[in-house]
Amino acid sequence: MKKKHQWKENLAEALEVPRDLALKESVFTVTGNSRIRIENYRCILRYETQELVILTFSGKLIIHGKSLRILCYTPEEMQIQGSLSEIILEQ
Amino acid sequence: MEKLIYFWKGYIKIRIRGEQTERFLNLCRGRNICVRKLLRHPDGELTGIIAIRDFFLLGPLHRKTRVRIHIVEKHGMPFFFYRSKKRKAFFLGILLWIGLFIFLSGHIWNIHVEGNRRCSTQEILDFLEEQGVVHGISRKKVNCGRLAEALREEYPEMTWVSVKMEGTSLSLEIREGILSERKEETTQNAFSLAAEKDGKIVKMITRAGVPLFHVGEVCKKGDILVSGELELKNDSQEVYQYQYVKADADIYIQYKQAYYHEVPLAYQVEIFTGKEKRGVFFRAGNWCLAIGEKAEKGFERSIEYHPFQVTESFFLPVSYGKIIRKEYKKTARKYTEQEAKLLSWEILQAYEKKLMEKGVQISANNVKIEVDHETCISKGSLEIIEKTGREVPIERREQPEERTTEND
Repeated sequence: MKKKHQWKENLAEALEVPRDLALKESVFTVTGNSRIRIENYRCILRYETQELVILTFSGKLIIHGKSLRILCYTPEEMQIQGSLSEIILEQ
Repeated sequence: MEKLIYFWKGYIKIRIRGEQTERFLNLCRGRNICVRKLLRHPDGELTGIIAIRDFFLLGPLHRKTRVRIHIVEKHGMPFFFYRSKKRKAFFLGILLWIGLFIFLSGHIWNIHVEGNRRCSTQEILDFLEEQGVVHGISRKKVNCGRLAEALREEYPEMTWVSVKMEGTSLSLEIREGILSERKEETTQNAFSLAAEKDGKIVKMITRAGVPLFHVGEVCKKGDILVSGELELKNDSQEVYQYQYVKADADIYIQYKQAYYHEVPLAYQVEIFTGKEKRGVFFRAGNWCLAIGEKAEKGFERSIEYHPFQVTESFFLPVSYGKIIRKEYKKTARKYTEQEAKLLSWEILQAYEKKLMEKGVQISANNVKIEVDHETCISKGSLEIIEKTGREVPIERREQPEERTTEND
């Protein structure tokens, strides 16, 4: 399994295909401390005003902050706004 | 842009309550249902915005996750139309506005004329009216090429005319040139020049024809000064042919013109008392409504006229204005001798200026100004030099018979 994944990685690198497209890796774009955009995620595990737990293909993403608000929530991407204090990526 | 599409299609704000709100959101994602502006409230409720179309897909998810969905707010065009279904006049107004807009933008509302110096704008506008081009004409009915052609035909002094439509404005650009005089055939238009007044010839330059009078001679009204009949003579000084030309000459005659003018010393002057009465009027076509307009003696009336102007040359037949009536009193006064003489002299000067504007010269002024008890009389004569020469047709004579050696 690990070998197969390695082969995929090598092929994507050889063809210069972005990793988020070839390997479904998640992309997190943080703008200041108020906004974060997450692409390629799987589902929401928990949504509270001060904590948001999202399951991605590479693990759990835990966002801590205040007044967290999901601005846009589509199958491809999610935009979160609020006062962000901590972002943790759990493998 | 996205907001505009949402508004056009309609959207609602929903409130989601329940244990499995996260599962509900994940199922929404799985079914391509887009939820925006999600917010978790401290009491555990979730609010968000969803399109109308997506709202009807929430039924199975709501049953599966057992969450409660409440509509909090409704926004967008579909809801606006639903709420406004009783306001028929409002929609009728919108339709009328659109109709009016289409109608107005399909017609000419301004005619702009530029570059004209000799022909006045009003003259050109009148001609356009004759051609059927008036304010409010449909744009489709205006043929710019034909209009330019008609203008050039009507006004030969226009060397270049450009007619173009810009929106609801018709723009006429005109260039005027120097009109060349038409050369007429002399054989068909043979004339002699006759004196228009009695007088003494002071200057004469003949270009065509035979002069019958010379400088210094006195002529009477109707005398032929330059004849258009040329007698061609042979070596023995006998006329063998008559030729007819259009006589052309600059002839100046001098004559006396009597002048008499009386200025009465007593006159009346109007003195304003400072009292004013004001009124207004409104006029629509031939109908006129005036308030405060009363015919009274001893008042001078002036009217300020304001027509309703849509564009620079388009006036509506509606106008309004102010009427101001100033009270005056007539007072009898008398000129002094000096004042009367000065006034008479000014009147004479004005008369001379008027004569000179007509193209005559004043060579001598023999006018005397005298003042008696009641009047100031200016009398005498002015010696005037004026160009003369009225074209008169020539009676054609029979051509003399050709003489041969056999006749002799």
